[in-house]
Amino acid sequence: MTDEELVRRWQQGDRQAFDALYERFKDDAFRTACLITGNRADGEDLAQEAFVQCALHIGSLKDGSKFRPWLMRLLSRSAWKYCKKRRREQPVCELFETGEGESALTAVLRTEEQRRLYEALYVLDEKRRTVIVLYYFDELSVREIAQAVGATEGTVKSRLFSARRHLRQALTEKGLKPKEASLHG
Amino acid sequence: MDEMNLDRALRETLQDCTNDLKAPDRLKTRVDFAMQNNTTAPRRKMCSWKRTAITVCAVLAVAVTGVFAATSMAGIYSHSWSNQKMSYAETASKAGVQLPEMFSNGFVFQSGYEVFSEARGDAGETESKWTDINAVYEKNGVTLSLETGVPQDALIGGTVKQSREVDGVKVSYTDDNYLSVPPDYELTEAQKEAESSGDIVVSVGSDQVEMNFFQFVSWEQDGKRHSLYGYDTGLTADELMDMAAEMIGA
Repeated sequence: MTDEELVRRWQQGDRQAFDALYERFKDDAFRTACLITGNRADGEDLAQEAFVQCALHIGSLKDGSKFRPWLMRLLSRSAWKYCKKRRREQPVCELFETGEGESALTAVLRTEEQRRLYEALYVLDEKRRTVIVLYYFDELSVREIAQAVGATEGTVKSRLFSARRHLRQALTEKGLKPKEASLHG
Repeated sequence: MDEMNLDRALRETLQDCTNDLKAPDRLKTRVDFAMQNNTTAPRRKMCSWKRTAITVCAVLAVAVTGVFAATSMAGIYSHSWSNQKMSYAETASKAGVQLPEMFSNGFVFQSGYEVFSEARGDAGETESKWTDINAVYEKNGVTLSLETGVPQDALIGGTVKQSREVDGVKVSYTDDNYLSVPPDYELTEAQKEAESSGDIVVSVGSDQVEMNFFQFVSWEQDGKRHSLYGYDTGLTADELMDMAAEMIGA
């Protein structure tokens, strides 16, 4: 059954349609939330919040085929608010199961390049990190990201540009200093 | 590194980071719980202590994950961030009142956090929003919360079981037995009867079936709404009202 059909059924009160949509997108939502926040506990909170927001506002979704970007929009709004509230450094390895710091990171990310990119990602401020995750992981367009984070397309492009510049620098320089990096852009 | 290689490396890194990440099973339970509460028949106003008890129940229900908890009952939607821990100075400053660091009966300030609430109308529209400040006190493993905020039209008084007047301020006390149950739990006939008669209040969303005794003291002073409450405190109504009196007289 298509997303559109499931959304239509859900709007008509079919709870099983919601369950089906949840099963379809739960991992996407959880992974995106984890990437933005940098850890699983917060990712779980935000995924929950996003699905609850979906339930509250499902009646306002006119095009059911756009359910996924709509879910991501609700998720990223919640995530962004949360990051703004939280304002603390994200531990590098909280995403990884073993919790053994560098060894876990090394096991999951195979190359030095990937590890440096990952670390640099969490030096970015949340605005730029959110844009990077939505663009490269969720493959949203600049327009969709702009709608998601409540910014203009120009602002999203600017954030993408400065984030890329920072990440490229992280790959070419040694001893990246977090404060310097977060000032870019 | 050129743009195309950077794009490729970013995509691969983000994918590799999340390959092993799966939404935990409990997430569905949490979503169902929150949604179930959101679809409860709405009332415009809600008894302040019952709303507090329900919010606390919801926090307890997900406390095992140490995370953000949200619930919405009867048009009142509240949430807090359980990883937010404010110091005494920050809590007192945000509350805008003189909070005791320690009550004379030995309850000591532990931490503070903000509680964000909003009243929603029948169509889900936001009618009002407010933020309360919650200070957590502890003694011998017993936890009490002292919540401070501005009086809200959306919150009404509720049943009062005892009251006293302190320096011209009316202090009200109430309590209730709360039966916390998992979302798929079916009440026994005896429990249904107890709920109907008002002997227990059922709160859906916990991991296991648990009965707790909830106590709630409230008062208004100098344009602020205060409530002191806790589960299974072992304190009497008088002892709780003495603590309120201590704060009123401070």
